Amino acid sequence: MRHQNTTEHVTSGVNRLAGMRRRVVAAVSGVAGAMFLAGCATNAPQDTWQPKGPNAKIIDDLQKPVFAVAGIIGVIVTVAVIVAVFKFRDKGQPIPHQSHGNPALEITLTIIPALILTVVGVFTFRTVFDLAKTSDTEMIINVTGQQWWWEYDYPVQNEYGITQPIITSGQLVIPAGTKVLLRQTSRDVIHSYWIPALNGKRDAVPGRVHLNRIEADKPGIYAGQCTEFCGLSHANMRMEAVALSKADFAKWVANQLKPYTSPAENTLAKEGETVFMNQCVRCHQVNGMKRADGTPVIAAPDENMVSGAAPNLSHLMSRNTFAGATFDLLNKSCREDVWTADSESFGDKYLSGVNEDCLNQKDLRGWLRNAPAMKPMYANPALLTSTGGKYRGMPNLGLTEADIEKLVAYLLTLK
Amino acid sequence: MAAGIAGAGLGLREDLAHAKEEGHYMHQECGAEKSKYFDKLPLEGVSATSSVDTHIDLIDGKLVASVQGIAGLQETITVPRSNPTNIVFRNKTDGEYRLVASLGSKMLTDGVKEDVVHCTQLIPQGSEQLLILNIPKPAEAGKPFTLTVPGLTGQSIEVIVP
Repeated sequence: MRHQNTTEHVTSGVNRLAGMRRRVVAAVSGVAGAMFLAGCATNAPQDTWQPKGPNAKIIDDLQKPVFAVAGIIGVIVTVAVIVAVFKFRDKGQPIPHQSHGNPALEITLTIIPALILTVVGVFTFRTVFDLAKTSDTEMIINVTGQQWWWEYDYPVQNEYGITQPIITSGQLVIPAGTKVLLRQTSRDVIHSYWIPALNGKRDAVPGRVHLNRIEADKPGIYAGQCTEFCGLSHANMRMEAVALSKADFAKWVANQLKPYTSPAENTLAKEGETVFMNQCVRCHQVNGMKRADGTPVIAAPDENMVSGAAPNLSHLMSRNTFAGATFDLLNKSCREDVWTADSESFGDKYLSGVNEDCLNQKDLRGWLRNAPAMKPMYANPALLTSTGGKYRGMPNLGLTEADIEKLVAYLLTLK
Repeated sequence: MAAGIAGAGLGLREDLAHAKEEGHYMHQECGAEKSKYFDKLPLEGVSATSSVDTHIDLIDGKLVASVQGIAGLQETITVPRSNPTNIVFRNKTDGEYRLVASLGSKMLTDGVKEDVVHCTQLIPQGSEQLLILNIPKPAEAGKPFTLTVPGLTGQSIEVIVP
């Protein structure tokens, strides 16, 4: 009787193990299948295998053969391990003859990987030096990272019509077919700038200037995101590079240099300007804005923000995104229209900016209503003792719906 | 350790204690003349080389800027708002000179405006000093921020904060 119980117990255990193994195999197969299918996605703007500029192409030319070699070796090793595990598993057979040392085999297995790594190393070094080249730079843009957005400022470059510095954020606008040198730094913690279609990653480190060269072959939008963990909203620190034809880039520059125009009197936008002056200029600058007495309005983010800066909102509606490129300023259909435009029509569509019909009202109003609810930013006033009351992102300003209505009308004038 | 013992033997530590009592690094006297406190024992070398944004050189009485990543000599530099920017001043002209950054003015609590000026110590030919700029606001129209060398007229590098 006792023997029968023991047998049933063992049989039950074996069945449980077999069931568990089936579930593990199913789970692993499911994950592997999902990963494989994800690789087939067509709408993948951050695909590292689709270079759209010479710098990314240099990387691609290295990574593809290396991936092929590594893949072949990986398959050989994996198959060898699986064969060994199954073929030589314990079936009660006698222990085979034991031997020690095989100099010829060991030397061969050392020399082959060493040769492979040497070849890979030589080409990797050559790629690194190619990417570090800056002597043929045609344009300079300063890039400053901050929790959790990117600021771009264009120093004076008369050959591109940039007669005064231009400052913008979220979207980096560049002329296509131009070797652009990004001078990267950071205001707070280490970030990393990465637009896969245009070049590899380059860290932005406080107190240092790192050089990063990008170039786009054709007009279009190229997506990227911060790739160095930088705090609460790291995943929301996105960016887009917008490449325009040289003629369209000149138009963009001319628009960015247009002087500020205050909204007409007795309009909702004018009331919005007043709200902006009372609330938003504590951190956000709009170049050229003046008070009623003619004094310039200079924002004071250094008094309110840990990092001392907030996005400059001059010409906000010439961009397609806001809040660190986390949200679209364009609604879904208008955004689709810009993103899917061909090279010839892209410039006109991008330069038309954001109008009332295309504005993503939902997200912009939501942002003005309660920004920290849409993007985590350590903006709880009760938790700011360690920063002396300063914010790391936009707080909830407690605006009324009427104020939001006015502000949206005003922001739409910042073309 | 040897350097520390040698330094103590030469009286440097006593000198530093004296400097602390006088608070002479608080006396940033940024004129052309030598200051009793601020210019005492100037540091003449900079170890920071990899994180320098701009070199400002005084060459044969002419002030020029070399910005990392930008080819050629510049007469204006652009620095990000509220971001420490390392500038190394190199004196390549006979005589002692300092670099002075005139960064506008700031409002004090009593409503009075105070000029914001930072400067290096006077350094002789062949020496260099670090100046860190951290400018929270852009300049007012018509009042650009500048880098100048007292005693040299007509030599100025404009600092633009977008």
